Amino acid sequence: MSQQDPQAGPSTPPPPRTLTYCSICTFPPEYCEFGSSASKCRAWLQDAHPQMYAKLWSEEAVTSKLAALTTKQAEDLEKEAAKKERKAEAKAEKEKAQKASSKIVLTKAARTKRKATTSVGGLHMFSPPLPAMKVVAKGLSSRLATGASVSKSVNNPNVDEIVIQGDVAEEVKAMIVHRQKPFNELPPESAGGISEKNIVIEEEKKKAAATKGPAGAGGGGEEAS
Amino acid sequence: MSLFKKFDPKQDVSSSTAVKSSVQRGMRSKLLDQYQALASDDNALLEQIWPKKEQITLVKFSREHVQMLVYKSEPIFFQHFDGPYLPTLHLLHRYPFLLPKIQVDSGAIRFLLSGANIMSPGLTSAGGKLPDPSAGETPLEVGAPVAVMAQGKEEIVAVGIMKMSSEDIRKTGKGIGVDNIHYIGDDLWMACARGGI
Repeated sequence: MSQQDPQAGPSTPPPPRTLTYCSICTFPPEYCEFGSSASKCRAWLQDAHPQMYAKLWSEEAVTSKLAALTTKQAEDLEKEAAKKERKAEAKAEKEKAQKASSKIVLTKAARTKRKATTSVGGLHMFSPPLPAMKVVAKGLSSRLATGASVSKSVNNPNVDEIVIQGDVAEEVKAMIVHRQKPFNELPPESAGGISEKNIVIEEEKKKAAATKGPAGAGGGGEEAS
Repeated sequence: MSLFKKFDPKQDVSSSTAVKSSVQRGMRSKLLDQYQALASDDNALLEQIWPKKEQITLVKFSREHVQMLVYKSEPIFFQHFDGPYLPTLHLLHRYPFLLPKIQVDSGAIRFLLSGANIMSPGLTSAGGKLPDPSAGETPLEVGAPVAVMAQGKEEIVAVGIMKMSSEDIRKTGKGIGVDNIHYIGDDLWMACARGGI
């Protein structure tokens, strides 16, 4: 397919235009000022596309824009942009904090006789960097030589969890702590990754069937919150 | 009302299926009917956007009866109930001539980008533009899909559907003129920007 010129011939369709989008807020750069990270976008544009920056943020362009507004309006706009930016920053901060304090909960549930299942909850906070839950489940199932599936969490149907056949909570915990497959994509602890104390092992008490006490490593986890 | 102000590809997609070729044929003919630009030169442009041989995925919303045509994990067109197929903004930026254009004044951009509908004064004021029949442009009817430009900007900022005909907007100059369906920065835009569904 030849696509050099839009008016080349009757049989070539016009080629798609290629646009530059801001890599910070994904908007076309001329709309960055309406986004929630205007000043960052501006710095990026200056860095990555100086030509476009010169066009959009030249003295001339800025003054002509301001000329269309009264000073009061201009001030309001500026204030609002700053406020938006602060808000977005606060939100990002909050998300980060939430991520740092999020836990992985391993729940053991007794099934029949000596059989048990282990469910891994809270993983959705880590995907990405982890691959999709289904992939993790597959990895777990091959590592542990048992079945593992992704299903909706019983307590919170909006969230998925991985259910593994057999009592494997300790093994899974060790795998997460040592960042073994399939958890090898998690960032290390030093880089804000999940640490041992944020992995909680719980035992689901169904009837009075609980044979063992709360699993050994529970202590560290409870105090972590 | 904006369809995609809140849209989470993970939760809101109820089904995503490959489309049978017979159904695809129907979709293609509807698209061609609707967009002259796609049909010109023996459907060359449609062939470029969506090659005939390629499989397309139909993604359905769990609410609002929205369907999306997803080609290679990138949404290209969407449809509300049985309405017209509308191009996504990323597609429209690549082929801006698909839809007729209107323009809003610079004061309205801010509100558009938070999902507000387009009120008539934004179109009739000095910075706004509507097709002018006296200059030989065809006026827009109610229900016609339009691309919304903005004063002083080069790119299309939103996709909308006319709520009043362009002549009525010019005459009354009041009320909601265009329904803002899909705008830069809404969740569909974000999903596309992040690499598709």
